[in-house]
Amino acid sequence: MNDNCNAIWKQLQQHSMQPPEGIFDKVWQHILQQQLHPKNSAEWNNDIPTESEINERSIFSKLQQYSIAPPGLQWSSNGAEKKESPKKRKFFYLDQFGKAAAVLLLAGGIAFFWMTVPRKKKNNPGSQITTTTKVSPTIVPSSPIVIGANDTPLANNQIQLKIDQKNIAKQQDQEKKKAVLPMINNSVAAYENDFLLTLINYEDEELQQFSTKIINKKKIMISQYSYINLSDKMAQMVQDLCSVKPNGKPTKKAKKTKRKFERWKKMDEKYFDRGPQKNPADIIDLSDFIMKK
Amino acid sequence: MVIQDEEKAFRKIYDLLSGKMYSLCLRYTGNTHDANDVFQEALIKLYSNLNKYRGIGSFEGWARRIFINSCLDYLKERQKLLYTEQLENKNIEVSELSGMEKLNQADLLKIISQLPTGYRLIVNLYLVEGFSHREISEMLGISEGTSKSQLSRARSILQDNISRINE
Amino acid sequence: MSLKFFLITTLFAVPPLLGKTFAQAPGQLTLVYDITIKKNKSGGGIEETYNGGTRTVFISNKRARIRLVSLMRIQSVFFDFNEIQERQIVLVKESGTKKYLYQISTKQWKEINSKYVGSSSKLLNDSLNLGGYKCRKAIISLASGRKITAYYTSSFTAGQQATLIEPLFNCIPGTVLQYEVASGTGSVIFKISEVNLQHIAPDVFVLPQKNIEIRKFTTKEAAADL
Repeated sequence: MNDNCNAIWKQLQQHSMQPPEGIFDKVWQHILQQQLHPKNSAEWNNDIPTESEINERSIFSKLQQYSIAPPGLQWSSNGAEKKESPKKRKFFYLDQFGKAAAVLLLAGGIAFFWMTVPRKKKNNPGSQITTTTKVSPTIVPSSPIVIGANDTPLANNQIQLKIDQKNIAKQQDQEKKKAVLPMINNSVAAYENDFLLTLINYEDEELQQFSTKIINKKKIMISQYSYINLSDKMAQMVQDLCSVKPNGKPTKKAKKTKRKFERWKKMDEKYFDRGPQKNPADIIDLSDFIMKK
Repeated sequence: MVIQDEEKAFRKIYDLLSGKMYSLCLRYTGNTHDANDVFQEALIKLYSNLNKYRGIGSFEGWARRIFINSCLDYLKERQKLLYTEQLENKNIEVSELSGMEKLNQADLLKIISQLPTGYRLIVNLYLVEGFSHREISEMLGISEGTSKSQLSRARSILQDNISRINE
Repeated sequence: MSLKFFLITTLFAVPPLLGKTFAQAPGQLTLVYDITIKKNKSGGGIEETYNGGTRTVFISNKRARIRLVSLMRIQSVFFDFNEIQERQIVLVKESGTKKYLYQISTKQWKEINSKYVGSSSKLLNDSLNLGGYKCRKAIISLASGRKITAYYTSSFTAGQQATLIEPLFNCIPGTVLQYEVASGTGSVIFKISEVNLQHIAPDVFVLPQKNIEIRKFTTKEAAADL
């Protein structure tokens, strides 16, 4: 290739283009946050723990609650303990048995973990690489679908999760549901590929988690060329949907919003699902539907 | 006070380099959305590594390397989730591109952006940045032979696009 | 003299203009439109479930796909011009508990889009920069009397099959990068956010099949063909 051509290509190194407004401020804010809260840097990198790690933690975190009285301690010297936790009394009197029970429970927990959680990671103890395989949430009633970061057919991207959890204690079940709906590199798990249905069908902490993610990001990436920008009004509605009373139950506003979403879903299906004659990708059809409702 | 000074200093660096580096990000990613993402990530890496600049070579060149690596990491990560490349069947091997003198920079950037990701990377690394095939093979984790063949195929697509523009 | 001058000028001016009008179609084209819906009535209504979504058009040689992604639903129309058989258009609803697809013939598709038959356009001098392209304004008037405001670029066309894929734009001499339908109640705007000429992965044009109900669609004309 002649020198002239080389020079032409090399000149592109000097080509300059104004970046979008506000990037510096955004970056600087992030840098400040990193300096103040180093742990939060995981958020930027979407360093979300995998489902197996989450399940691991949910089991092992219970060990925080186990207590074994140190040898020689008189429980009656601490009146508060006597009042708060009658169980500890048993530990004191059944010292040896308590230890054995703790070991058995620990062994049981490990066995449960090995039996129920699928091993997806390679056998690499030193690795800290987060798997990039898509993880789908444990959601009842139907198995969910992770929308992958490409426009490939649904079938290839579905991962069916076992929802056979009848044998699992309620507390463990609830804790498992806490850590679902991860976002992996901007891919979002949604119920039946349908975000509105996801908002309608999820409850409690699943809903909180999903909603927080989409409200914070304000943009749901389906793929490189398909995404949803959450409008301010919709973000507000999602927040309303998630509002809870001090007792943890949904507020009237939340219930009203849910009913509204359910009503809209039915209206949409009634209008567009009768046949291919009406297609929301067609601007006239969409306009007719929206403007007349 | 210290943070304000740091911000001012980093802003000066930003004002100096942002135009070229953003253009670089666009060249590598081929679209504004990805370019915006990787540009921000690379800026953060640049800031984090400022203390590692030893003064060897120009600062711009050193920063450029950080941005290039960020683009490559970003694209590698995306490639796992995005589509796989389909190599075109091109039997003609073009060793030298003709008609380039008639193109302006905007045209050049356009034809680069039209290339599939793999070819675009090779063209940017070899033709624009001036890395050798050996260096490219190390950066992309491919063989030197693959780097050369990819470049050859990229050239034939580039030639088609150049001819189209010049018509 | 003045008439001669006018004729000579026209003879030399017209060919270059013609050359610019019939711009080349790139082999691969991805157009991403952002959907913005504004309703005059305040308060979030059903429009917010489509507001913020995207409508993406993929065109690659013999195939095309229009994909709508929104909070309410995800839906695609696949076009396959390689197919010799008649049913080469497929509409797929990709989201919801009841996903389905319709296989549609070209004739049926044209019938579905009959509202665009007889439309005309008025090209104006107004221009706008969209997606990095200078676009001219056009007002499309449908046979029903409805008007659509569009901005189009002549820098490239969407290819020969565009008339089938986007029948609304048959009367536009270029590729539309923004279009809007407005009424007294509000407006719906599809505005380009990205024009990409990169190679499109073949996976984009693969039909989803699992858990998809195949539904039959018959129109009066189509029934006559059967």
